[in-house]
Amino acid sequence: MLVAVPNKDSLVPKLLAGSPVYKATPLPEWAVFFTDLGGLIASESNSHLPLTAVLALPTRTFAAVFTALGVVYKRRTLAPESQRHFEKLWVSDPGVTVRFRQGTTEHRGALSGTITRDGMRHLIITSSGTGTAYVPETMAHEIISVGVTHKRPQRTRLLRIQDPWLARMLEGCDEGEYLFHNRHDCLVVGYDSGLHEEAKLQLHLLDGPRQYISGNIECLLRIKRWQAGSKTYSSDILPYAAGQEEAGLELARRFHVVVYDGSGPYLRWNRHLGSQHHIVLLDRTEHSFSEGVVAVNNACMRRSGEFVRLPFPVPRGIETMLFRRPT
Amino acid sequence: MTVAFRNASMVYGAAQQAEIFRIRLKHPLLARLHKDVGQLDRMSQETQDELEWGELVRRFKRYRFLTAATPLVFNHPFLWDDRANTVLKRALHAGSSAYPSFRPLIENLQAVMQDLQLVPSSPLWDAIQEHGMPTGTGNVTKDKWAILLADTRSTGPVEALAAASQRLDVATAPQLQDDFSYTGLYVLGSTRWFPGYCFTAARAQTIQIIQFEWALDNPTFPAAFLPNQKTYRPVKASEVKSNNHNAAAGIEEEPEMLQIDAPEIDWGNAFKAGYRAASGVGGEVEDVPGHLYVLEGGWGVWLEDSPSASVLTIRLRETGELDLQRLPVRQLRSGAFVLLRTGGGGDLIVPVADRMLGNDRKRLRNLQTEWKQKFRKQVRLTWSTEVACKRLSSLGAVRAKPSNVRNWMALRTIRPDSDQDFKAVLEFSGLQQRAQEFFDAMAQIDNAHRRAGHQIGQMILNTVSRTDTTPLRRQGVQVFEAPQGEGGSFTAYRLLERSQDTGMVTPHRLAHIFPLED
Repeated sequence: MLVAVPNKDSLVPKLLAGSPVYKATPLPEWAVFFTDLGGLIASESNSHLPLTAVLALPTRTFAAVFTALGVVYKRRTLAPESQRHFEKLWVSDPGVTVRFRQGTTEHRGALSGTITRDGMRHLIITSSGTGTAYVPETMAHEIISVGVTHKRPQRTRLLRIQDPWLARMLEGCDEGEYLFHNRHDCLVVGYDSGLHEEAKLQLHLLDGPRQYISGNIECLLRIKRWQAGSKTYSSDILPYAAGQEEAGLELARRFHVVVYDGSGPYLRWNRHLGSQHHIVLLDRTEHSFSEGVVAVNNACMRRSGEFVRLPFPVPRGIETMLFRRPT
Repeated sequence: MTVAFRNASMVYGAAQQAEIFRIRLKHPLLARLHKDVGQLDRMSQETQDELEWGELVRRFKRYRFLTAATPLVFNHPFLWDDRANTVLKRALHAGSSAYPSFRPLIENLQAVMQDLQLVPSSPLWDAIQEHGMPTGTGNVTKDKWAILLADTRSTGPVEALAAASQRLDVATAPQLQDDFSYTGLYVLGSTRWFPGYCFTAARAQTIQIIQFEWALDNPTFPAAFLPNQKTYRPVKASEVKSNNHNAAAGIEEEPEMLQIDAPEIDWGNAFKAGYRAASGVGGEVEDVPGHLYVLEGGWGVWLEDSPSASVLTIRLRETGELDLQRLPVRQLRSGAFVLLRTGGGGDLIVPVADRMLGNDRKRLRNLQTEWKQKFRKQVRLTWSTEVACKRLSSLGAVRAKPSNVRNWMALRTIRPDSDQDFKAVLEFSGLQQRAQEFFDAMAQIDNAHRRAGHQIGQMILNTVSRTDTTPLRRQGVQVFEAPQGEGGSFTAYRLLERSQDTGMVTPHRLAHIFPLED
């Protein structure tokens, strides 16, 4: 069954690539597509069945970093304090009244219990409109008010950001909250060194006539593995070749979206990262492409609840498949 | 990084615009030859006389493939050389007297070959020139076409042919994994000879598949994912072209459809060549199991089949840079580039490590030889290696398995990894009184080998990273010359396939290349 997911506009329409000195041009269609896809999957509620988006690409170069950019950018406005918010809900007594969002609709319901599934904690909410919803801790921000005992945390802390590019990218969200808290937006499973190079790509924003401000993707992604010292993070990399112990799977499972950068990373780590939304980037020129295709097709046949159609056009040369996975 | 971004944009641009066309050529004379070669192949299989017909059939099949896969004129020595003529003549005299039924067919083939030698140009080359081949200098970077070849060994002669146009390149499939794009690509021969990505991840805006009319080929490129039922990238148009040589030939117009296969690896012959190369150097050393790897350029190499065996590899990055990586042999896959020492002789680690050991070298190497010899003698004196393993285990060895014992006996290893194993080996060899002396000496050798490995790695990296690796991507083989006095030359080879079976090979012949054919 084909189900359309809500449409939305491109996330980063003002970004420019190339050299601002010689010629800065709008992001090409393919890069916009990846950011849009990342944004779309980022906005998926976890109370829905987890979504898998698989792409067959002519090249993987920059695909993962632009997808991660889309995920992080879309989720920049979400309160990182939702973790504390979740902790409060986790210990609340059953019966507490809550209001929560599912897609674009708001529901009233009651907290009826808690459960841990696939290593992730979920709140069980019953409502007359939706029946029973399982809300994982990564989506606790969707619960917009709680009974009379406590409210969703207020965001009051403001901060002047030193990096003008980042400040512009974070317009519309509480910058202080963004920069001073750990977030679990996007986990990229892939080849560390190549991704690090790609994340250094400079992008520009027009700041008046012939005036540009520039910054790089890494600055917004705030990847834990590459952050020095005690800096906070929004996303992380799980290296393809990491051992089971160093992978930090408990933390890895807390990220809202997992991007698999290639067949190898998907084949190796997919079974360890079960309940999140997945984006699988398969490069047609790789030796293991066919292996990856067989694996995703099998996963689709075995587990698909429904196919999903992308609400925006897919550039020619990219093949896509989106499906929900029953948990 | 901006360059990489621009290149990625170029690839997506090509993938968006790519259109595939198919041109099918008539050539009755060549069609007859292709058909007759098929018949010869079938007849020789029925006689099962590999000795008499094997080489002739291989030569003709190679010729058939190359006439369909390269734009070279039919009498080009790369396709059919003097050696092939000798083989043909020998078959006519000797072979057909034993098998007279073959004679008419071989005479036919010889007659068609003689006619083909008179054809002034290749129909594939004519078709390239008729279908948009760029001429003159033009914009060399923006408007570049390439001939995509299924046979990497033919890149040299085809490059010589294409040299007249600065905007015509010669490429092989692995090059199309890189991030760049041509204006157009001529794909010569059957689409089955090329990996799917040449068409589905097109590195060109226009792809012209040029093949002969009788080639049994169905160029469809299905969607990868289940719900996407339609063809992923359809062939836009298909046209049949005739050329002037057909009329002169006066042969029937409707040729029989034929499936022409790319030459396969002849594992029987490859093993023969491998054993021939490995013979006569064994001496005292016990053979070890190894797989035969077929390398690009008609070379083979034995690599040890053991969990501890490793080989130096080159990984080419999209950015044009490369990484040197020592990989376990068992992790090698087709397409990997292995780096082997091909000039300067033998393993470079030992002489470099010896230089590091300085004046102590002789004493330390003598100690290494001493425990190896005594250990080998003791193993031979026991009933079998299995019995020796039991005895070693009773002396405290923790990994006493036949494969490990063989490794410990080999001259190229220094000592067992585990102290317990080494202690048991020394006791088993009657050297327990001097155990500390051997432990200390082997530690010094081990240390020197590690430092030598690091130094050689740096030297190779310096050598390799200074060299343009385009030939490696294109032809799958490239020689890297180290600076004078630093270890001769190394050659990187693309690994094509690994034998299913293992063979027993003397350790001296491991990682030494040998030609697969005479």
